[in-house]
Amino acid sequence: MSENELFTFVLVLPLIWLVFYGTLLAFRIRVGEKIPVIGLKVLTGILFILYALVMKTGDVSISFPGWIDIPSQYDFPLEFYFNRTMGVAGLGMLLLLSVIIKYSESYLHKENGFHRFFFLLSVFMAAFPFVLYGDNIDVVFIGWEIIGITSVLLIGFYENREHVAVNSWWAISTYRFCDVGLLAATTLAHYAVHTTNIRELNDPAHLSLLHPEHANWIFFVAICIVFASLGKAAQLPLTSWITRAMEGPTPSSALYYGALSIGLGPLLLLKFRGLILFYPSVQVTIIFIGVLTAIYSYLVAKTRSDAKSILGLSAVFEISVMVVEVGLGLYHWVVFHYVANAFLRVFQFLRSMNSIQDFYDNPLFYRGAPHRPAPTILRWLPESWQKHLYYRAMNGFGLDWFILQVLVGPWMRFWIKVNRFENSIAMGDVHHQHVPAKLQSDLAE
Amino acid sequence: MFGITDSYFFLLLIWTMMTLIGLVIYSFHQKRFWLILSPLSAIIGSGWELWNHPHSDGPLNIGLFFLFNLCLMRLLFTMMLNRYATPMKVKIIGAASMLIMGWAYFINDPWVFSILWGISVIPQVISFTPEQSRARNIYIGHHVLSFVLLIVGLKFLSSTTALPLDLSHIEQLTHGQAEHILVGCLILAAFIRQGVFPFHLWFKAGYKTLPFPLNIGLYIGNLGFFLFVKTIMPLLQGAFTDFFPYVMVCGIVSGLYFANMSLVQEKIRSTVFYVMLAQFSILFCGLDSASLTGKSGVLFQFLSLGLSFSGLIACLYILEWHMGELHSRRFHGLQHRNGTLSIFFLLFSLCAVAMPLTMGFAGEDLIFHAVIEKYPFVGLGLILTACLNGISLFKVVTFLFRGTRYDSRDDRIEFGIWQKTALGILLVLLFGFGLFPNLLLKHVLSFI
Repeated sequence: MSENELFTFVLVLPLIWLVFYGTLLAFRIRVGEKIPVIGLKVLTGILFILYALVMKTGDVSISFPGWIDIPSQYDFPLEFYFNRTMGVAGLGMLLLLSVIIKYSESYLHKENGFHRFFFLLSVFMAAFPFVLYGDNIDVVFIGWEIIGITSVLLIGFYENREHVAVNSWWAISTYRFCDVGLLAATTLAHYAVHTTNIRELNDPAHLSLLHPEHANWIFFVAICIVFASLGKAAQLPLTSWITRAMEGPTPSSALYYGALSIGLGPLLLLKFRGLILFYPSVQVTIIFIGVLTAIYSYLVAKTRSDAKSILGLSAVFEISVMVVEVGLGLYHWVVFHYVANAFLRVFQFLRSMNSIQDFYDNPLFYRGAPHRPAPTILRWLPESWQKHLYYRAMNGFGLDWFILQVLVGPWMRFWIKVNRFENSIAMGDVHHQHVPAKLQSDLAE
Repeated sequence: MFGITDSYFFLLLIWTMMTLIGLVIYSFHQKRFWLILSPLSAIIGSGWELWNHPHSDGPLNIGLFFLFNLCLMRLLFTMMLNRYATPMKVKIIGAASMLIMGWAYFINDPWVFSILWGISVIPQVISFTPEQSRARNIYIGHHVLSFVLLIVGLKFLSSTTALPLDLSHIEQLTHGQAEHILVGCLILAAFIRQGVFPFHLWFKAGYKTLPFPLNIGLYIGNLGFFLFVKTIMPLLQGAFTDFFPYVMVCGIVSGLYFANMSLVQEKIRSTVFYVMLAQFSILFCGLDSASLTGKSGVLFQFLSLGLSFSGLIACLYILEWHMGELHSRRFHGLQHRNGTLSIFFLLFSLCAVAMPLTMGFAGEDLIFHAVIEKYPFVGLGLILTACLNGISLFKVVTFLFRGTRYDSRDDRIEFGIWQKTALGILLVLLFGFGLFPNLLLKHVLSFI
């Protein structure tokens, strides 16, 4: 079997499993709890072997031209490119998934949403390679968007809790807002240089020579990519969704916000390293955002009292460091950091429910109530400053307030006024008595 | 007759007879099959015509495309509707509207078209109650204005040509100041009919006051969009290209306006309808790109929007029939006992906002690329519109299905095999053509 065929299997097998499992669920065929677990374990095993075989051969590129095709006018090819750097990230994903599947098997046993969880996990498994190996922005966008949707649905997993619903809505609003960046990058690249191929876009000097009239637009493509990565990576000013995202089941929090999904931000930047390296101002911006977010997440994490929030913010800290690494051009470090961080965070998240036992019942750990002194660097500050900083960090430095009251609030208030004005014109002063339709028909009968 | 070619006339005649016979038999037997017969016959007829059309014969009549879309939606709504929820009067009104619009799609005689354009809104007008006089006046005012503009445009355009005016061969008009104004009248008529900003108040008046089944009929015909595609586009591409930027601005302003308005609506129904208006506004921008990519994207997306919003509105209809009017002021917590319906609703919401691997994604991708080639900043506006629409629809899903229910009324919603089949078919089409868009795209191209 050639390396191209092996790589195609890597992409197609999760999709086949997804369709199979989805069909079973759609037709309400009794599948029990064993089938998804065994199915996913087998799939992970097969994919592991395939990954190993593909990695032996090195770089592989495949393309399915004409997925959306208008003859001689427009072509949307499905292009994928496998290299060892991304292969390592893929292998890491598989290892983590196998841990998560094993853990969730008992964690979600007899839970109402057992199949929902495993179905969403299957969707994630099918979509992740699109982001890792997609060789044009359109293909990356497909995986990017689907991962975002599964993430939000998993945040809202416990559907009867109202704050969970609000938090999942907050997360999707952030995601959708930042997805504008990726879509804009796709369309601008298409407009300016007539290609969305990532390897071609990573050579902006050559593209500028080919399309001198649109050279400036390539800079905007780079800006859009950075903007798109901010949302998933929870970088400032879009960090506040991460603590809200901890509402989902612990395995999904571990996989998405400790390890893989949150790491897609730096991975996206990594994919476009050539483009980013070309513009020093973009590099500086990335480093600045990364440093600022690292400080922010460090300080806020210090004031949190729940384990999952602390871990989520710690993950943001690590991601910020990765973003800085991309900005500094330390690309191989990023992959190593990504995989190492993912394993550590998944372990910590999955272990987080035992933290009380770890601290109080375990004689190896127990040293009385855990006391966390302020870090040395902060102890140098005057005490009043320390208190002030602590208070501000407790409030997340007013980031939520800033987003709600300064950015979104006035905008929404304006549209509410417009809506009232429209209502007064279209409806006049008529107030309708709303009687449920079924009640009406019951009364009529 | 009225400029309709013989084969289409025959098709329409059979369809009309099927509809009438079906209605009569249904009034006695009350079997859903007799209502389904009419749209099913039209789908088979138009589908047959499309399938057997050789590409060498030139583009197909665009009316066939609109008839296919209309009847597909009608078929699925008929499968969905609860017979107790829709009295016979509503069924007759719905069938009459459908027949009027179906015939209008094929008529080339401008005067007969204008008459059908006018009478197609009458079923809704007579359904307003006396207390809703303000809403009714707004509704009538807009449609009268649109009718007058259409008549004025067509009347004076016909006086400027030596040959009798034909809606499908109007592009030979020469560029002059008078013609310019008249083409402007036609564009305005189409915009009012389609509810483009700022002419959308009739739509608001309608969907907030009329019963839900009649609401569905407000937009389903899309005669304004049809006029734009069939008559106005050839004119603009001929001697009136200077209209393109204005139409593009109207499209993008409408899209952004409706998308923002959808965020602040309290009624679930209002949010869905505003999102629908915003998504349809994007189509005007796609048409204005005047490229093959843009036009094929628009027709593809038109079908996609028709299917996904049919599903979404049908789900909402089932919910509102049981629960009364739904608001987003509190959580309704319906997922617990209506799991299947919540999945359908979520999937249709995702399809409506062009989630990847659905039909909408392919359609929007084509439109965005076509628009951005010509006007990059308008393209960015379209992307923002799509993003805001996604947030609005997810809000709807959240408030409807999440949270805890504090209402003592039974919240189990009757969701039978007919409903599941109808929505299942819709989803298969949306995801099937989303995964393999070329299967549909090659047929869509035969209309251009």
